[in-house]
Amino acid sequence: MIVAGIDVGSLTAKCVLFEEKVIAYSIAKVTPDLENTAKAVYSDAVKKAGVSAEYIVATGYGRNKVSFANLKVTEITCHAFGAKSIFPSCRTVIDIGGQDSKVIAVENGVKNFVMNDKCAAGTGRFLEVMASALNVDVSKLGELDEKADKPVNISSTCTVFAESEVVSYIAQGEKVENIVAGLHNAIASRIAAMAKRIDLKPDVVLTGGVAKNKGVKRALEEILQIKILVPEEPQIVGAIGAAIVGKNYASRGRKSERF
Amino acid sequence: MRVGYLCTFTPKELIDAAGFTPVRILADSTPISLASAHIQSYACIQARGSLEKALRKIDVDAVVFTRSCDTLMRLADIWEIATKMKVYSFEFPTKIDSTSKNFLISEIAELAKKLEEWGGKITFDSLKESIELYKLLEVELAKIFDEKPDYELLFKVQQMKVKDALNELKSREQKKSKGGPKILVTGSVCPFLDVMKLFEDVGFSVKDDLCTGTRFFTFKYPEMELRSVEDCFRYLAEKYVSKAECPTKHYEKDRRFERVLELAKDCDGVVFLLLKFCDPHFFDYPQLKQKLEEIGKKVLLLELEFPVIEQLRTRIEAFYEVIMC
Amino acid sequence: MLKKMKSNEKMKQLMTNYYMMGFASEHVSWITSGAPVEILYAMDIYPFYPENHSALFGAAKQGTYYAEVAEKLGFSRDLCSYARCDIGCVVSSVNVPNPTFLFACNNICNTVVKWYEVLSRIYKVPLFFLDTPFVRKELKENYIRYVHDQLVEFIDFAEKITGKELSDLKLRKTLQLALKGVKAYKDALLMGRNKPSPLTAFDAFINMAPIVCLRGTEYPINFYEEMKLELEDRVKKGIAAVDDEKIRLLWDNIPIWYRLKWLGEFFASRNTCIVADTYTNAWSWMIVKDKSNVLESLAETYIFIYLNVGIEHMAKAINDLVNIYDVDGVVIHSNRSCKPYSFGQYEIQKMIEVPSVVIEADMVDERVFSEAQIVTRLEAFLEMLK
Repeated sequence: MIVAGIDVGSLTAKCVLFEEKVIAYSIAKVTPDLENTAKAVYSDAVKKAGVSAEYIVATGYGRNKVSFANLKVTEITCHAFGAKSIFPSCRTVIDIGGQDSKVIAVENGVKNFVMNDKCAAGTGRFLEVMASALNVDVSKLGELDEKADKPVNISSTCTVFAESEVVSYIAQGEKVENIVAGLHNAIASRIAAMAKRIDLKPDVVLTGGVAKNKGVKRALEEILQIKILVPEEPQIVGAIGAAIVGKNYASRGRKSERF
Repeated sequence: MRVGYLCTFTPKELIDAAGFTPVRILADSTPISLASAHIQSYACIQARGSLEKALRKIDVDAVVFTRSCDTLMRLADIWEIATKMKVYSFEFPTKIDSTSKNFLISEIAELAKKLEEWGGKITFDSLKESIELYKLLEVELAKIFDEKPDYELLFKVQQMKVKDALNELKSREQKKSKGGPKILVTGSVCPFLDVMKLFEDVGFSVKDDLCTGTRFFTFKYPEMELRSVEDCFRYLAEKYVSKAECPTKHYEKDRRFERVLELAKDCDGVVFLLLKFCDPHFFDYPQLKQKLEEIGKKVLLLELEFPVIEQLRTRIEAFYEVIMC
Repeated sequence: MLKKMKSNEKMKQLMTNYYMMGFASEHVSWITSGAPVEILYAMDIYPFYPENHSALFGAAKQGTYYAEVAEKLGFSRDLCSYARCDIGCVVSSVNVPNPTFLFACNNICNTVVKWYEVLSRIYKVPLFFLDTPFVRKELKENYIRYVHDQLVEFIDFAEKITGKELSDLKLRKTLQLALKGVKAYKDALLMGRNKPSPLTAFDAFINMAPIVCLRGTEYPINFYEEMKLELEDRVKKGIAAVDDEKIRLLWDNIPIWYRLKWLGEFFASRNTCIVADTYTNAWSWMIVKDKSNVLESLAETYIFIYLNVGIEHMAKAINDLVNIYDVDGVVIHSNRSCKPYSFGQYEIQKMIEVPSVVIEADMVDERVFSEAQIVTRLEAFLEMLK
């Protein structure tokens, strides 16, 4: 059976067509019309694969807006299943999403999870705001991090306050590279605190779009003192997980729209 | 043994007399990471920052939590569980009157018992000596601050035995005030020395009503002869209920407001320097501000989490211009 | 989808009458929810509860509006939203019974002390503050003595202001009524033990006002006895509060008043029943022991109430509820307005015997509620429990 997993996040939408493995996938920027965004990203994946799906699962913060999905599941469950399918040794998933970041303990499914509190500066959105304050492209943050020699201290937990810290570092003439590394350290320390609330066990897999940023991986490895695995395409892990959850669910003959 | 405390209503004399070193715990600029696994981000930076320090590295073996605000009340448990240190909750009354003074005497006796349980030894002689030395220290600090506040010194002496603190005072040179318009800086705890320095940099001469400033050493001393440990307990109760009024306490006749209004009289402006999420101070702020404005004072509110110095400088400079122009 | 209880209507009637009573009373005391109201009823002084009033405005989704009124006066957005809403109402001349005096007890938080100081300056009426030491570990004798002595002073204070005298007999009678009321209330809540449960915590939230505001009168006794009958009837007829109940949960902290219905529907549509909560159960602790010294018993009861105790006591209370109501998990509301209720929740999570999830919101301030974030956390939690 071919299953589609559609992950509608706050910044990007991802769609994966899946049978025994990924057949095709597509990524698109989210527009205010979430239903249409989901449709577009799905059609694009179908076009690439040349087949359409028999069963569709939606996840991500926009999941409930995808009316054509057969099943809706949260990204927590999906990231757990997705990461486990890529790395069977995975016991912990760290997903840094646009709105939310989470640390998930994985067993057969989700064993426990913790998410950021409201004003925590540990999300993809946070990096976007900071990148724009620094006038650099988000995708360049990883490279800049590598060139840092003395990361600055970002102490505020709130995005607004942290932004003004960044601005004042710029005013003092601090190197952009060091500010970027400081921001990555700030994110990592927030995640580390969340990880402390559950039992963090190796192997740890980092998922979500932010995982592409090598600086975040570097900072997390330093603060957690643990090696972190990153899938080749970390952004689509949630969508893969959604497809796998859907496969299991449909094969059990369940009908409900919720997991 | 080093015994920490956060609230300045903690009778340091008892800790000192027991043979321990009373150590004031203050947050610093360490970013919050470990602490956020234990307490939410809507706790003030003094609570979160102190816990962060304790979870990283702190030279303290036990902590006395003195009842003051809701956050510190809960922090005692969190601290005990998260750091595995010895923790004791000292129930200073929230209400200040003659009935609560009697209760305070019994709580002081309970604290003394606890300190002995921790291996300390409180005798009449040791307690009487600590009481006398602290009075000397406080009177000296008051003189220094009258001339020109020295927060660096104040922070330093809060980390040592009272005897050493008195020596520290002897070896220092009195700094002279540079003058300038006088402001009253009122508020809770400000653990950031570089913020305190800003007011002077901008050209103000500073008088304060802060827990990390004059409220630490402002008391009225009871006139009584000390003949026994019980006398000393009573003395301490009298002394601490006369401590500079704090918004975490309830006084008859709004004594807290009266204190600030009185202090503000000879000042050109008043700065509220408050930590974000500090409920007791923020409840007072609107009505107190109104009363200050009624007597013609200019008022500025500075809300701190981790301070961004340049941003604060701009505000303080603008306030200076408001007062001067 | 939600099955409304008949009691809701009776409660509305009862509370309307209660509010009307306030305007007809000669002496009115504003009082905090954890204070010994029995003394007031024994002296025929009408108790007005600002907390209840703010909760009511919160449920009517007007809380944020009045909170903003207070914010315009300079009260910080980070302060308790019950307090902000109340201060906003007072300065907007919302019709409330004017206080003869104020009566605050810090056994629920120190915030009420500051809040009532603000009120005392606005109304220019005296404030009596009852100071209850915090029981982190054990309840000490000197605590009881201290609170006892203040109760004596309070009676003297109230007598002087109102010119009335408190009769010992009437106080004992009032305490008897309070005891009966609390028992009837507790029995009604305990109906949640049934599987499936005939009530949800949301029904309990809606119907908690009488035990808070009218404790010490006949009204709550009759009201909760009837409520229990209605629930027994549901059980007999096989009516469950939530169709096809599959998951049973416990709620921790003050409800999110402006989202009661939304949350009720959210859980019901997922075959999940919140069968009990720590907030409404806090009043079932208020059982005054029958000792020869009435004021000492009152003192002991009001020192040792749910929020005035340490984390170990709280975790034990939660574990008791977990067992009594046989729940699968706990939904923990991290409430920005209520520090004493919320700080320590991360430690409590590790001490309770079933899985739990934390959602961050506020009891009255709607601006703090992020629907997408909360839906994700709750749905993920339910997926995990399955």
